[in-house]
Order: sequence, then structure tokens, then C-alpha cells
Amino acid sequence: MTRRILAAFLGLTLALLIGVVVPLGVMSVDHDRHAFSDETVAAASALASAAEERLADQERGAPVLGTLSFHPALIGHDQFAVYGSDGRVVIPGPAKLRVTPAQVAAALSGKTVQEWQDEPQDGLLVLRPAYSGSQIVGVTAVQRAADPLNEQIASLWLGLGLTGLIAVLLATTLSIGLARWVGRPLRRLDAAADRLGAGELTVRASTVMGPPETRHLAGTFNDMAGRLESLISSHRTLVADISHQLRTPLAALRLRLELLHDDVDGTATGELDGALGEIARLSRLVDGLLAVARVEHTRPAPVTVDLRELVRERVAIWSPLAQEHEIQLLTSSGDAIVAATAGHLEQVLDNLLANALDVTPREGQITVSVRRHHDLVRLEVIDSGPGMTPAQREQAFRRFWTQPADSPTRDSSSGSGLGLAIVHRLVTVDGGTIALTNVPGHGLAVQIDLHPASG
Amino acid sequence: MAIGAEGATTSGPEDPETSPGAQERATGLHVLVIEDDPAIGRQLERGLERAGYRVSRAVDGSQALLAGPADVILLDLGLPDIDGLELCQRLRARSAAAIIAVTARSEESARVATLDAGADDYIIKPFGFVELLARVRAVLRRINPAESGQLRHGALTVDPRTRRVLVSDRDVALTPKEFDLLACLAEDPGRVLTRQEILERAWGGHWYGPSKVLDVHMASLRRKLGDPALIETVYGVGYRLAAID
Repeated sequence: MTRRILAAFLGLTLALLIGVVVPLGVMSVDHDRHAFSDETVAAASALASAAEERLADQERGAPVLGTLSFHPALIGHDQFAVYGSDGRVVIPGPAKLRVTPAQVAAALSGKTVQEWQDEPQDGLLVLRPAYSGSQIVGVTAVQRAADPLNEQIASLWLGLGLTGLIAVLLATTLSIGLARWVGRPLRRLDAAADRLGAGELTVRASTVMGPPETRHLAGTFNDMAGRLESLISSHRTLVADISHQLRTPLAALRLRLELLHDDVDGTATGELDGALGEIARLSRLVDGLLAVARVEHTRPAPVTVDLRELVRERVAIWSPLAQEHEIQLLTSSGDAIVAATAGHLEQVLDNLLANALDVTPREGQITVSVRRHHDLVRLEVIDSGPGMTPAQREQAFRRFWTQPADSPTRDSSSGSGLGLAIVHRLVTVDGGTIALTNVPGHGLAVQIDLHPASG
Repeated sequence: MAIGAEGATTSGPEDPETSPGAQERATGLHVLVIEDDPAIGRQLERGLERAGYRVSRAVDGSQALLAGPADVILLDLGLPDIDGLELCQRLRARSAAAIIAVTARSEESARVATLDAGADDYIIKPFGFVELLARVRAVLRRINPAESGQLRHGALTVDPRTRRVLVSDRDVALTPKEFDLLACLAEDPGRVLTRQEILERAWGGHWYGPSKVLDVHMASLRRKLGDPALIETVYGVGYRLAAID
């Protein structure tokens, strides 16, 4: 946005400079040159009338005496010469004065000759007929140096150029200032929206800075964030409350069935066992829901975690079980210090290893690896199970998602469908990402990208 | 040892023949159940009486404070009149009875607060009688070490009081979790404990995470005991200690 405002301001300023200031300069230069040539013509005329008397005398055969050098119309380094009616030189000018016979002839015919010369000196040559009455008695030639005019023109352009430069600088400064005034609250709003998106629900934008439109926008954003916060927190408390409220009747039901179990005999005990099994499942679901509610309430409190050490420790704990199932549990890990909330990554690894062991057949293998991936640290768990279809992968992080009942690897005793949802939350709350891909020749790969600990 | 008091009803033990769990015996010890929910309160009374305890009941905090001494107090923390933790502190101040708090809250912070308020143990709803009676026995053992009995099964000896495990008179170092698992299996060798029962007993009831963690600890426990066949997996149900030939 800063660039656009700057471009608009500079464009406008340049258009103004080109459309107004440049023509003004051109007109002004034109005017100066006209004035210069008018003055030179006037000087030549004055000289012509001063020379007229002597030229008339000369017509009568008298020699031309004296000099016109000090005529008041002449200034500075003006050069001049006087020619008789026959075109011959009466008063010769210096070498710098170059006049052609054609020019003299043109002047003798009554014209005023004006010619800008570069050689031998930059200036204006004017030839003016000298009249005695109505008769042309000779010609005066005046060459005036253009230096003062050129200097005047140069300083005019310099002045205009400086004015233009100042205008451009002023426009730049103003536009940057304006862009900041408009842009800063927008950038802050953007940062606030980012943090809100990352789950920091208490974040609000400042409504005291910037133009009214931006302040209004910040106000609207805050209203939205407020509603979102209360909606989400009421949703979470609802889940927790419901789970709590379910526990008391569940306890009563379970105790009652257990007592009944001791009172009846025969076929009824089988039914009661089934009912108790259902209660156990329901209890586990309530526990799972509470766990989800709790994990969704977690605020990120990252500490430095040695991921290599953590992987080594969790794998050591899980190895005996893997051996019982004749599954190879392999690790490859480089040094990796990451930032994560204490306890989160242990839970993540436990869940992922449990899932991997569920789907990996006997004599299969599970690989846990840690490596740098761009500027992040990638933790990857690859099993040798059947993998997941794209549709399953898309659904897998949702609550209550479980492998389809017809899946050969599905273990009916485990899986409330909340494990991966919890893992997802535990990873993302610390700013990490999690993705599922199928590895050809193996099974499913769970890839988790974590932020390295800074400093 | 226990005396009934006004505001609390006392009933004698029922016929011991109907007691749940073969290992339970009529002890005659007195349990005070403080529970406002009539459905749960009534079942607790029945179950504890069947297990051989004398049971009295209070339905709120003020009744509980008027009740006479008991050996074990089962205290529901969600009472209508007095805050559960406050009542727990007051009961602790005036009685040496073992207090087991009954709560619907499973968070770590809530459990810590409960223990800090003077409770000896806690049990989280919804619990079953197996877990409840085990916890009652455990707190009684702690109060009265003479009651504690070593559990023997072949070459295996488990001592719940000192938390020692011997295999052929050789000490086996176990983690607390592994000990808890072995202790519940050794209480009744040969009986199958369901995964759910073991999870409840060893993880304070309502630990949530992959239940595979149970298998992880079992695998590690088998290794340390040196005889993988000692703990049998009953597929789809749970675990038990193998019968001795």
C-alpha cells in the first residue's frame, strides 16, 4: 500500500511539473530571448541614427571622423561596424564581428537582419539600415554577446529544477507519512488477525490510531473476536460440563449393575457383562471428551525440548511391546532442540506409536525419525500398515473419526476416535503443523513440523 | 470401634455369603458415606455392606460433621451445602479416619487440591466396586500396617506395604506403575482383570490416552520378572497371573 500511495503522489507531482512548470520555463526563456533581441535591435537603431549624420557627410565626400564607440546604447562587449550605402566598410569592426556582404545588402534594401551566431562568439548579430529622411545612407551592424542571456536562462532552469526537486521530495515525504498513518493500524490489525487465527482468542486490535475507517475496521474486528471468544469458550465449557454431569449418573448406573450382577445368575450375567462393557465404553468416551476439552483449553507455554532425547526415551519405553509383536522399532535422529509446551510431545509420540502398533502387522517395522526440514524440525512416524485413502486422511483429525469397521487392522478395543484430534491440537497449539501421507512400500507417514527453539 | 450418630443411619453388615469378590471378608470396619445423590449413595451402602463393612450415611456437609467416628470416610466433593475441599479439611482436623474423596473432576490440579486438603486417596466417577474396595483396603493398610498381607504366588511375592517384589527371594526393581499393575493381578491370581479394570486401578481411574500404554507397561513388567509366561494375555479381555503347575 505504501508503494501505491507513493506512486500516486509522485505521478501527480511529476505530471504537475511536466504540464505546468516546464511550459512555464519555456515561455520564460522565450520571453527573455525576445527581450534580448529587442534590446539589441534598439541598440543597433540608436547607433544607426547616431551614425546617420556622418554617413551623410561621407556621401558628400567628407571623411568619417571620430568614433561611435562610446554610444550609450552599447553595453559590455558589444561589437559594431558601419557600412556605407555602397556596402563598403565605413567604420570597421573587430575580427570577432563577422558580417557577410549578403547581410549588408539585405539591410541596405531596408530590412532589419537578425541572426543568432555561435561563431566566433555566441551572440546575436543585428544589421539595421540608417536612414537620412527616407533615404538609406548606410548600415550599422551590432553583435551582442549572449553570455548574460545564457546565464539568465541557466539560472531560471536551475531555479525551476530546484523547485521541482523540492516538490518531489515533499510529495515523497508526505506520501510515506500518509502511508504509515493508514498502514500501521492496518498492519497491527493484520498481526492481531494472525494471532487470533493461531488460537489466541483474547487478542484485540487498537482502536485509537489511524484514520477513522481503519479505527472502525479495528472496532469491527474486535467485536468479531469477542463473539468468537465467548462462542468458543462457551462451547468448551459446554463439553466439559456435559462430561461432568454424565459422570454421576454413569457411576450410579454402574454400581447398580454391578450389584445386580451378583444377585442374578445364569444367562442374565452375560447380558449384564455386556451392559457393563457399554458403560465402560461410555465412560471412556466421556474421559476422551474431557481430554479434548482440556487440550483445547491449553495455552501454549513453549519450553526448550531435546527432541532427540525425547524420541530415544519414548522408543525405549515402547520397545518391549514392539518386540512382543515382533515389530521392529527403528529411529534415526539428528540433534534437534525444539520449542513445545511441556508434556505435549510425549503425548503426541505415545498416541502415534500406539496407532502405528495397531496397524503394523507382525514382522513389520515402524520408523521414527527427526531431521531438519527447511528451517523447521520434522518428526516423522512411518508404519507398515495399509495406509489411508485420501478421503480418510482428510477426515482423520476430526473428532470421533475411526478407521472404518471393515478395515482389517481395526482394533475394536482401542480408539474412541479422539486420539488424532488430540494430537492435532497438541501440535498446532505450539505453532506446529501435522500432515498424513502414504509412503509407497510402507504404510502411513505422520509428518509433524515443529519450530526449533530460538537462541 | 465405630459409633453411629444422629443424622447418620447405621446398618449392620448383610449376610457375608452375598459379598462381591471372593477375597472380600466381613471386617466389621465402619465406613461413613457422605453422598447427596441418592442413587449413588444407596448403591454404595449396599455394595459396602455386602463386602462386610458397617456403613452409615450422610447426605450433606452438616450431617457429615455431626456423624460419629468412622474408619473410612467416602466423601463426595460436590455437596450442596459445604465446599467439598473445605469439608475435607474440617473432617481431617477432627478425625483420624482415612478419607477417600469421590469426585467427577479428573484434572491433575483438582486431584492435587484434593490430596492437599487432607484426603488419603480419591476416586473418580464413574467407578466400579472392584476399584472402590481396592482403594478402601489400600487406605486401611496404610493406617494399620498390621493388616497388610504379603501376596504370594509361586516364586512371586508382592508386598503392598513396602512395595517390594521378590522373585525366588530376589528383589526386582519395578517402576511405580509396574508395581501397581502387578499388585492388582497378584491380589487374585488366576482371575482375569479386564483392561478397563486395570486402567482404572493403576491410573487413578480416568487417565486418557492410548490404552496401548497398558500393554507397554505389561511388556516391560514381563521382562523384569524374567518369566514372560507368568502374566497371561487374555485376548480381547485383559490379563491375569498364570496358574502354577
